[in-house]
Amino acid sequence: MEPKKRGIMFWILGTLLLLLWISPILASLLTSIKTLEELNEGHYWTLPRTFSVQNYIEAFTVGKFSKYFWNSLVITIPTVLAVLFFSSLNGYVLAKLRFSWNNKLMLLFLAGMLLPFQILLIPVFYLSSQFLHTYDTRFGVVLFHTAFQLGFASFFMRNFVRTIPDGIIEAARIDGCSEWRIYSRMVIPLMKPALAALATLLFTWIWNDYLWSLILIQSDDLKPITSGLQNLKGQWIASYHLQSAGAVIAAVPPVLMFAFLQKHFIRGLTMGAGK
Amino acid sequence: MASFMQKRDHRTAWRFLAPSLLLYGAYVVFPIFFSIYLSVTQWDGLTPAVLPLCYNSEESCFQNFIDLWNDEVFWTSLRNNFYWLIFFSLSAPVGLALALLFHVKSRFASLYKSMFFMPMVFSLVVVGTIWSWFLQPNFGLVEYLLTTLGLLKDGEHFTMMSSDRWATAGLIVAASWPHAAYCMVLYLAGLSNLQKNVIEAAEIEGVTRWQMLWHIVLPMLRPATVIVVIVTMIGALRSFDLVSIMTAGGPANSSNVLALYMYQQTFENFRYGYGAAISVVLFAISLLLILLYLRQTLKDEEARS
Repeated sequence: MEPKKRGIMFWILGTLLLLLWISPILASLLTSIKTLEELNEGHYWTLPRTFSVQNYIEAFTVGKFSKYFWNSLVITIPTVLAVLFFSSLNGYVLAKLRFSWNNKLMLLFLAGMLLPFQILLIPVFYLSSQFLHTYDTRFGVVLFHTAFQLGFASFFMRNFVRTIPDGIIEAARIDGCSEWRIYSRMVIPLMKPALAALATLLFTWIWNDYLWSLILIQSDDLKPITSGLQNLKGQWIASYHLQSAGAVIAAVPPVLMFAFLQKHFIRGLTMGAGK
Repeated sequence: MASFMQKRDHRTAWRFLAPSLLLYGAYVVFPIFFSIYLSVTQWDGLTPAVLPLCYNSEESCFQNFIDLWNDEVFWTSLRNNFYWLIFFSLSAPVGLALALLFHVKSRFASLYKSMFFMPMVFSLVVVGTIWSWFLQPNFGLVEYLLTTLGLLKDGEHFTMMSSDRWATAGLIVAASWPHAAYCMVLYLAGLSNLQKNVIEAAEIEGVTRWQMLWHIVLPMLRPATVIVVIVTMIGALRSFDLVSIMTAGGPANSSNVLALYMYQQTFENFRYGYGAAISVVLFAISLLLILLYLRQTLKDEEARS
């Protein structure tokens, strides 16, 4: 075949593959904009007669998605900020201070990130309900997520800080800068690309979490959007139009984040994995 | 002077690390030991003090584990986790194939790639909701397409997710969807780091495409593959969200997995000791992987320094 024809073949094949790949998404998107009447007539997979946002409005009002959405933000944003702060501090210590525990602590952080969550479930539940009294608060979820994500995040930041030349830090020390000043005035600005990459990963992970809010939050009013979507499925069992709209709403923030910050996200994934 | 500096560094290090270590110790390190302890008790989650089963009693300390051995659901869950381990790994070759296909530089290709990556940022609750609808046995899209193509006869339905033989397969397919996208990302990064001169030399030698892939590209992608394999195995052992959302372990526990079974025993049946014992088994299996991963990381560190 001549190259031009092969190029066209490639794009036809690629497009078909892509359509197949995103067909589950397309199915939910299509159902979410159909009216209940149209679905009741059995027209599930025809083109919609009208474009209806009714299901989305209903998810936000009857399904209480506005509340769930807010809770997800209240849990996700403070967690991301706290992890960024502590992990960058840890990264600096583990990479740049002469400190004999460096490797041991790094292994400790690294081991935690691969744990099966179940081994933590009962003690964390016990800790927050009996001891710290953070059970059934969004703060309790923030606290746990922060602690758990510190494992991966500290390792990630340490690997990045190691690429900063020792020379400039030594020079600042000789000038009499305190370690805190070096960290906050010199290292943080240099860390920006790593912080951005880490932030996008953390945002996605925390926003998407389901298990921990299931364990640590009981009140419906405090639950995040993942639990909200699951509630929607439980309460309106065969209402696929509502469930589809709910799934789209829950997916929008990470998808937007990905659409605008894809480079950071991908860099984060490959930096974290490829070391 | 040097030792003074070192001492100062030590003190600063501990001061900087203190809040993190406190949090991490309380929420990650301590729970491991506490869970192991609870696995030899029959805690109900209410009584404040809890003693081991064999304390001043005839019972064996390992009664929970003996009960597990005789628990059919435990074995079904373990078997399903094993299926997950094997078939979930197929996301790696799928991700690799997609990466090889779309490893071209053009504006179109990067748009296509972004679309392929998309499932990766979905919550598993979203994935589960989308796929439950996609595979729904009366009105779902798959059922509709199969009927249209004449693969399902009148009156027949696409009942994969309510079948005790096939539900786990459906779950693994749904889970592999975002995971293959993740593997694709890692492999694309690996492909862009290939040594160009080796590829060019091979092209001049006139090797076939297959030889190029098998003998040159794949060996160079080894670091990406190691990570993909470990992350996939950990993921297979962690599978909870999708099972909980799509089948809740059913029908009749046929698609249950250890992580979900542990949750059900603990928070639905209030058998904390028994739940802890399941989590200890899960932990023991993961420990092998964790140690392998730590060894690999240390090796890489040594190779670098």
